[in-house]
This record gives sequence, C-alpha cells and structure tokens, in this order.
Amino acid sequence: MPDATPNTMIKLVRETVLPDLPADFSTEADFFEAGLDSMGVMQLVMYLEERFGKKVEPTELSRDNFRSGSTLATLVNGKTA
Amino acid sequence: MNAGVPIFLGNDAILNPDVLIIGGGSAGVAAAIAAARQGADTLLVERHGFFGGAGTASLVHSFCGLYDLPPTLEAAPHVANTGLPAELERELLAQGIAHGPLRMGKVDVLLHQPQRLALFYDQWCSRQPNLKVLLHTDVIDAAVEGNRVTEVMLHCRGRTWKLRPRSIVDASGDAVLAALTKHPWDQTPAAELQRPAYIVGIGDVESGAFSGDGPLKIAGCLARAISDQQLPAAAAGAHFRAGTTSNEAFLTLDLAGDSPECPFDATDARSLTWVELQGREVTFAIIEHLRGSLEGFANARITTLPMRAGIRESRRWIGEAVLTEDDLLESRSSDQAVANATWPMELRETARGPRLLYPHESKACGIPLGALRARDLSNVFIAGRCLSATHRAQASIRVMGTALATGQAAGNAAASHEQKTANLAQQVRAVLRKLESAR
Repeated sequence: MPDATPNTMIKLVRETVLPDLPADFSTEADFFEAGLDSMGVMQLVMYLEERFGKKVEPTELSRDNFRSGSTLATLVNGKTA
Repeated sequence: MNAGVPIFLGNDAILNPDVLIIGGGSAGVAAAIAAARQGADTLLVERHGFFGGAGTASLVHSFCGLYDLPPTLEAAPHVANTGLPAELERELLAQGIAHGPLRMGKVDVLLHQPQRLALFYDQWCSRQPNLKVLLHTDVIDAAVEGNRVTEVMLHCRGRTWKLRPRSIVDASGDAVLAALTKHPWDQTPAAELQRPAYIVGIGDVESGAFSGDGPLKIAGCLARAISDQQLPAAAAGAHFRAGTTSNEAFLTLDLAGDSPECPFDATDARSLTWVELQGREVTFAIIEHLRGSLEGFANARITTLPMRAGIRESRRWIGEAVLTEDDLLESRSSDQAVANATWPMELRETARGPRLLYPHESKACGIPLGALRARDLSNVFIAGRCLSATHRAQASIRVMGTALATGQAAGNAAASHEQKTANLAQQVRAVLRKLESAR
C-alpha cells in the first residue's frame, strides 16, 4: 500500500474525481470549493479502500474529513475519532 | 381563434401553418411562443402527453444556464437572456413553482417542481392567440425540394397526415428532421457521448437527511454497499437533492448506458430500453437499501417515475455555423449572436460525476444565428440540444436555460420572411433589444 500523505491524496483526487485540479493545489486547499460533491466522495470512499486499504466508517463521513489533502491523509492514517 | 385548443385533424387533413415546431421541450415551447408573438400561425407538436421535455418528462428539477456566470462570489444572480427566459423565471418564482436562484459552487440555478412546470407550459402556450398545439404527435417523414423542406408527415397512434409549413424549427433534441431528410448531422462516438440520467422523485425522507453532512453519509453508505456487492456498481452514479417542497427529493442516477447488446446510442431503441430498465432496477434497489441502512430513510419511497430517461446528447445538426469549445472558452460573440450561452461545458462522458470546463472569463458566449440554421435547408431552424455545435460546445448549450434562449431566437427567425442570415440575425437582435428595453 502507498503512504497516505497530503500530496498522494491530492494526486488520488486529481486522478479519480477532479481531473482539472490545478498543479499548485495546496495541501490545505478545499476540495469542495474545487468541485468535489457527494458523487465524488462516493468514488473516493471506494478508491481509498481499494488503494489504501482504508474502510471509511459512517461516523467518518464528514466534510471536515474530506476537505483537503491534509485532512484526507489524517483520515486514512487513522488519527481521527 | 381557438387559442391553445387542439385542432381536430381527419386522415387527409392538410394544414399549412407558417411555422411548425417539432418537439415541446424548453426550446420548442420558447420557439413556438416567440414565433406566435411575431404573428406567425404556429403549430407545436410534441410526442408525449405534456410539454417541458427534460424539465418535466425526465424530472430534471432545475434550470441550468438561466443566469449569467457570476463574475464574483458576491455578485447577485442575473438572468442571462432577455425575453422568454426572463419571463419564465419571473412567472415561476411569482407562482411558487420555482425557488431560488441558488448558488451551487460557481453557478446559479433555479429549482422547480416538474409537475407544476408541465401545467405552467400548458397555460403559457394557451395564452398565445396564434399558437396551436398537438400532443401525442410525432414527425415521421419529410419531403425536400431543392433547398427547402416542402412537406412533413405527422403521426398519432396509427393516424398520419401531411403539413406544408413555410418554415420549421427542429427542437426535437435528436435532430429528427436531419435524420428524416438525410441532411448532414453529427454524432459523437459511443465512448465519448454524454451519458444519460435516470431521475426519480422520492418521498417520506426525514427532513435533514440532505443537509449538512447528510449527502456524504448517503454517499458513504452506497459506496459500502457497492463494495460489499449489496448494490450493483451502477449505483455509483447516484446523487440526491432535496426538492423545492419539504417532503420531496430527487434521486439522479447517471448511467453508462452501454448494454450487453450495444454501446450507448440515444437514438437506438435497444439502448433506450436498457437505460429505462436499468434505471428503474437500480433506483429501486438504492432506496430499498437506504430504507434498511440509513437514519431518516426508514419510510423512503419512490413517488414519481420519469416518463423517460434524461438524454444529454444524440444527433447534432450541421448548421451554417458550428459553435465550438473555443467559442465558449473565449466567450466569443459577434453581431450575429442571438442567444447567450453561460453554462460551463459540463462533461458527463462517464457515469462517475461531471467535469466542468469554465470560460477563461466569467462572460457569456453569443450563439450565432448560423448555428440555429440548417446548412443546406433554407427553411429549417434548430433550437435546443441538437443545434449545430461540437460535442464539447453541446455540453454547455444543452441545458434548459440556454434551450429557452435558442428556442426564442429560432422561433423569431422562423417567423420572418427574410432569407439572408446576416439580415435575419439583425431582425432577431432588434426584437430582443425591444424586449430588453421594455423590461
């Protein structure tokens, strides 16, 4: 499994749901403002399990956890409640 | 004048309206009203039992492309096209049929109730003295002499009759008249064609299920069920949105449309059949799953089925001019422009969510009259999603707000006796300017 860093999370989002994410998209920048929607989150939940072995629990499904490269990496590394 | 009352036609009846409009969706209704208000005797034919097309029959529950792209986040919404689009917005809001506008990301949309929109269109049409409407009526054949369509054959449940209209607006969505007359048209290869959507109305979902993190909880629940093979993979195209009334929501399911028999083609009955069957199967399975798995959905049920799946793209006419991706990206306009396109190019080439391409500046692109005019048939105009545009440009202009505007322009043009496109464009622009100043 690859490491879940903020930058690998941005790469995953760009490859799978938001192809037009700018090259300089920062690790704190907001995916939702860049166009992420619930359908995109559904894809991401499936990719996170497939590529990073992360099973997202229902309690973890929040905008806060999916907001940025940084928050997604924290989620995948299992440091959230 | 029997305003709006369907005329009776015997087997051999021949009617000769000034303008025949094929298809009663957003574009066709606007074209019909615009032509009638110019004084043309106008006949609007629609293959289903009500008007509104995608906005009623396919349960598309918001008008996209009705407003300008906001130049800043704080900018107030502004209707992009004068005349009928502005009139419709005003009326729908005043009658409580729509609410909004609502800012969704970088765009403004107007949410509406599809059922009440159908009634609104009936009443809008019946107020026009020169407009006659026929429901359950299809165009099945057309004769061409020289560079004109001289005769059109209509069909209703095994009964056929012929018309000799002076001019025609094809607002069928599928460029039906191009196919029937063998006029050049284009269609994107199956792999890139915009995907269809199956939309159902949902009732008895507890309020709050769609606010805050609700949509993400639903998405996560469906993703889990797909991974665990409790739901088919096609459920990944699902998207929920609350409706305009408290106890109403919509489930939109984007589908790939490729069947075991053939790749997706919205003019192939096998594809259309597959999409309808799969749409029903998967939407019912999703609701059944959510009833048992998610708070707020215990009593959820499908309350409304669409009359037909929503089709985003099929045939496109080849016109005198072809609207392109660059025209939209660069917000090009000219003295031939007769309708404003303001929606980003919304690519739905997969069933896994949209990809949006915005113009470099938040400015409208002016659609030239040449893109609403058949290249080789001088009395045929085009409106709505089958107008003359490239695949990518069509991804912007297909939306209902823009369809109202292209319909209005095509209807105005079709009502005129002027032949030359440059002069005709000036006439249409003069009509629009007059409406603007009357506001």
